[in-house]
Amino acid sequence: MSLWEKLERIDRRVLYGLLWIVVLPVLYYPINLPIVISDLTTEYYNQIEAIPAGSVVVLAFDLGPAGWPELGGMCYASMQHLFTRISETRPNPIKVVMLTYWATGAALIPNCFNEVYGPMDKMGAVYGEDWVNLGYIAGGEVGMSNFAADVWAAKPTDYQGWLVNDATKLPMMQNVRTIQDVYMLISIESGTPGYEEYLRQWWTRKTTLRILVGALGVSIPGVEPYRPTRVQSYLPGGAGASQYISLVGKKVPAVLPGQMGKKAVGVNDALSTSHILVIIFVALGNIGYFLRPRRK
Amino acid sequence: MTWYKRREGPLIVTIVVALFLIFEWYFGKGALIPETTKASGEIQRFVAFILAFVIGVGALNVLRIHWHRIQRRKPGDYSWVYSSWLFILIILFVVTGAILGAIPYEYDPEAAAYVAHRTAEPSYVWMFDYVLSALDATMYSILAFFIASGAYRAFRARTAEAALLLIAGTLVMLGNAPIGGFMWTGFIDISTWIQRIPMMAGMRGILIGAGLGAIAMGIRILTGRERGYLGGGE
Repeated sequence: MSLWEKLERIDRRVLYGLLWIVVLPVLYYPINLPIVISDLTTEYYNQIEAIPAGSVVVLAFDLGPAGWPELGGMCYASMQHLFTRISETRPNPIKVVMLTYWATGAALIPNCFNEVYGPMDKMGAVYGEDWVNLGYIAGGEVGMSNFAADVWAAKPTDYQGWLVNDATKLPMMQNVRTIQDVYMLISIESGTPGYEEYLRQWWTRKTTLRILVGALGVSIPGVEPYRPTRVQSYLPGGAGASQYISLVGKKVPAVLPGQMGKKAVGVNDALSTSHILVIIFVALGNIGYFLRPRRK
Repeated sequence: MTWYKRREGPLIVTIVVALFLIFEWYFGKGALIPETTKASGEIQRFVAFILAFVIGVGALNVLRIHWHRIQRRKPGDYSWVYSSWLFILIILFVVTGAILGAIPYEYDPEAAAYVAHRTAEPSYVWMFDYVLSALDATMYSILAFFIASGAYRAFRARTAEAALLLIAGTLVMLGNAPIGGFMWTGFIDISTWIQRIPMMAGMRGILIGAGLGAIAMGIRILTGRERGYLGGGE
């Protein structure tokens, strides 16, 4: 076998091994390659910055543990950003409703909150007054339709069993009755149900609803056709997460960059090194294909 | 055929409910016939309830299938070990989540009562974080290796179309990888253009086609021509 044929048929185990070598070290010891902020990430950030005081925002964790490595950073940063906005908009703060239509997403919300609990607590966000966690809502797309028509009937209790119509425990929910009361939806999602179902069940009932999406890299071709009229902006996969974390980190330096900032830089570096490796291998494969001797 | 096995019943229920929901969507919300909205809401909550119930039925069905596999234990076939492991974990998750999570054993001074941990039940959370999350994330992460290997094999300029795919794919990769924009900002512009013009045109075509297909399927179900959802292999 000639050199060119070898280039065309490199064993996949070699590629797997090299991928490990270029990804693993930079995840643990980031080399701080620059993070270029895209216009999509800037728009996502600006949309949250522009939420008017007193508005209700739904933060949906429509993902499972499989999507967490790619989307977890967006969840942390979006939650942190919203809690910062609660603090900034006092005395009429924005209200944040967290929920999920994925059974596996329910456990991720408190996990996410616990990770950043200290800094958010210092910002004075009060459970029940400024934010609630409704947990899992059953029914997928039908559940979304129920929520849009009647929030209290669709999810009578929060994640710890408190009644949503109890004005003493969850006073903010007294003003969240239908989708008409919601200003913005931020959906961080790794599949169905997701933005398409929200568009069908929520946006069609309230066409002024602002929608931001955090999606897996492979889902982006599906989201793009809805931007900017239906979906105002989106964060594309791990790259989008890294960019957004670095933006939020500039705003909340006490929290970010800390552990999250380090993770963001590590993911950013790993994306760069792995993409470069794939491009090199694609080039080698094509060089081998064109230069190998042809049989007559 | 006995009456409850006949297909006319489910077909009539489907058609009546579907027509009612369509009617409510167009005429109920504009306060023309607002009474229909409440009934529509009740129907949809009923659907959500059934869907939640179906999860339980599905879990029972999985348990049943794997229990049979454990009982059979064919010689030389060790898949029953995996079935046993699955069986044990399902039981453990149900016990810790649905039973231990529902027992009120922690005193809450605010509520002046003992409260249940619910989804925050420590053993359930531990299993979720260190078993399910770790395995699920690992399975998904392995995709990176397959994608890298697949790209190496598929992106080969054998024909003009394949060359076009290769060039577009490489440019989008360079535009999306953080280092691409650092090397030359033009990569981001080119990648953005590819995604926002040719790709979006194609995706919108696919979406419109899928939408029209969904409408056609809806009409077929409404008119009783499509009966696949009733099962029975017809």
